[in-house]
Amino acid sequence: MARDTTETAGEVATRIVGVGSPHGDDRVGWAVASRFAAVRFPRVQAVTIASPIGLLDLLGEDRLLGDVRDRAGAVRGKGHSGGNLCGETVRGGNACGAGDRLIVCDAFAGEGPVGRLQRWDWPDSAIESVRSFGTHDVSLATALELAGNLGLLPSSVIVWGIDVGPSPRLDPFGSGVGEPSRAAALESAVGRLVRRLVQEVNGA
Amino acid sequence: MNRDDLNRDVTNADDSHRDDVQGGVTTRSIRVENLTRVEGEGGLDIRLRSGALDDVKLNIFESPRFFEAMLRGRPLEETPDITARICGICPVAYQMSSVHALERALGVDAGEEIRRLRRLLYCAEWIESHALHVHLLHAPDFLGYPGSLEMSRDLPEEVTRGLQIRKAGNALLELIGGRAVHPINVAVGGFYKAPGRETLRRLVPDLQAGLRLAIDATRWVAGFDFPDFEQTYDTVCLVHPDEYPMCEGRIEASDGLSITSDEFESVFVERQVEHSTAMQSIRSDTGATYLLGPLARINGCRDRLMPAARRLADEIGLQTPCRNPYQMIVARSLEIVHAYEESLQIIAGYHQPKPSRVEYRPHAAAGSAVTEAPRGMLYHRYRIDEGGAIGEANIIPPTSQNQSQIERDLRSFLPGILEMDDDELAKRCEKLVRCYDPCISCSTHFLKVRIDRGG
Repeated sequence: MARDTTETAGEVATRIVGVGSPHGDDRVGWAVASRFAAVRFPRVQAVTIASPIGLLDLLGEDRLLGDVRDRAGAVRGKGHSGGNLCGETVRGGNACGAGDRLIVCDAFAGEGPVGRLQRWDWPDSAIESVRSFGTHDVSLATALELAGNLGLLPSSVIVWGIDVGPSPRLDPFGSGVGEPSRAAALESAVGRLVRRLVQEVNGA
Repeated sequence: MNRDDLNRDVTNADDSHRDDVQGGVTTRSIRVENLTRVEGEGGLDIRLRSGALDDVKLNIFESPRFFEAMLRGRPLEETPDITARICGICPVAYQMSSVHALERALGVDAGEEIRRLRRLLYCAEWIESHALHVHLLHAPDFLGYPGSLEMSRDLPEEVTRGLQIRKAGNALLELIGGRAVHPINVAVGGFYKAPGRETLRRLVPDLQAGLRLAIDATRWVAGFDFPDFEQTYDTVCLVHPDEYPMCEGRIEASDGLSITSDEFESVFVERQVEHSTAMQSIRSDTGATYLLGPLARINGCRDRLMPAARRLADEIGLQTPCRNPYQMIVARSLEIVHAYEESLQIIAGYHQPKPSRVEYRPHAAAGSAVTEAPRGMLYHRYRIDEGGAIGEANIIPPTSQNQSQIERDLRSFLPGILEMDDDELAKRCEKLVRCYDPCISCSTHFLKVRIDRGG
């Protein structure tokens, strides 16, 4: 289980957000965030969210309602729950400020090969062409643009996509049951992206 | 380019605007491929002959998903989690209808505390689903914006308010349901784990703030300029003597019909239509279409709204029965207020149910239930075999029931706007369809509009 980094919440400079679910190919965004959290970097928070619209909740924490309490009930400041800190509900994390960085990791249904990594520096209209997994017409690009219009985005926003190919596997028991090469390709992609993010954070 | 622009795939002139003359009758075709800001994928074909409306068809061309067949042979305990997967927007509704139907079949009484906790979870889903639709998907239609992105540039405070309203509901849903999307905590007989009283009470400040924001937002919405269009509706919803419709009650219609869920299939019949992969519903006794959802519930049960919501309905001058479909956004906003109020009331009197779920013995049985999903009543019926596996399932979601009514609305609406150019006409049709917050994914499941115009 990824570690709880709320103790560094007030100093968070980089937020790594995995979008997706624990299941199927959609799980790769969560896998990156969870694995990165285990690396234990100061001032880095790794968070998972279930859908792109969750980004708005996450980024708007300091503008939303009420006092925020940690899991022991102590008031930590203004804010709101905004996602899962790699499985645990985030309470008290600050929104990214103007000098902070947001890194979003998500699966996308591209042309392959499966496991290909793709980086976009927001704003990039190419993100619109990505078939990501969102509901109710709120795609990742829409969520990011809406967050930008509302002044919620930090100065640096990077989107990392892991290509799961044009026909994603959505089975709940893991990606590509009976397809070991596919599962290995995605596992390798998660590892490569985590190593890349470690380099980026170290270089920051 | 935003997602809405991408989705508004107006096909080229060959398809989208076609003038044919055959036998002295001029046919003019207009095709707008995608209706945006709805959940799922569908289309709309409008055919006009010699300037008059000839036909309207709401097409739903998402692949059927065979959930009912998928359930057969599965242990009944898996039903709430499997049916929740029908919809990412209203999974709680599917869980609620399924557990109520299965418990009725098995003769299980989950008890008052579990009943109240289920209403609390349902309130959370109403808040989340309604707030998303009102503020991001529907409000732009009344304010002249193509979508929420454009609206957020001019009205950031209003959009932020909508997100705030949604978020408090989201937090409540996540706390009770275990996670915000496809909750995992609902069980036949109760909950796998019931939250403690103090855990719930920590959400009270957020819910109180959300209630205030929801009241402000309803006043804002009530001030929109609503098109002058009224329909005669047969409205149908659950009716409970003491509570605003949600999980229990008789199924009642504005024409006096009053039945139990066991009689549902004898009164409401599904029919297959060629242009849709989703079934459509009509009343078998009258052959008429019927309206479900927030407007039906407000029309039928306004006096059972929570006090602040009821006072607010009076303050904004909502006339009921309301027959203007565009005012569904007002009804939806009032229901957000109601849901916040009821959530606070439930939490104030909450006692953690112990045990969190009641025991039962699986046996051969059958049962049905209707609960009020955000978009209207959701019917489930199950037959359980001796070993506790699902032998048969029948699930009728609200959007498939509303489909025929949407087509009827369009048939009434279109004659008044036929002089408009094709783009504007298509936009007006999209706006009318969006009033229903159609969840096309549920009904099978993007909507495309095609107009075949005769002159």
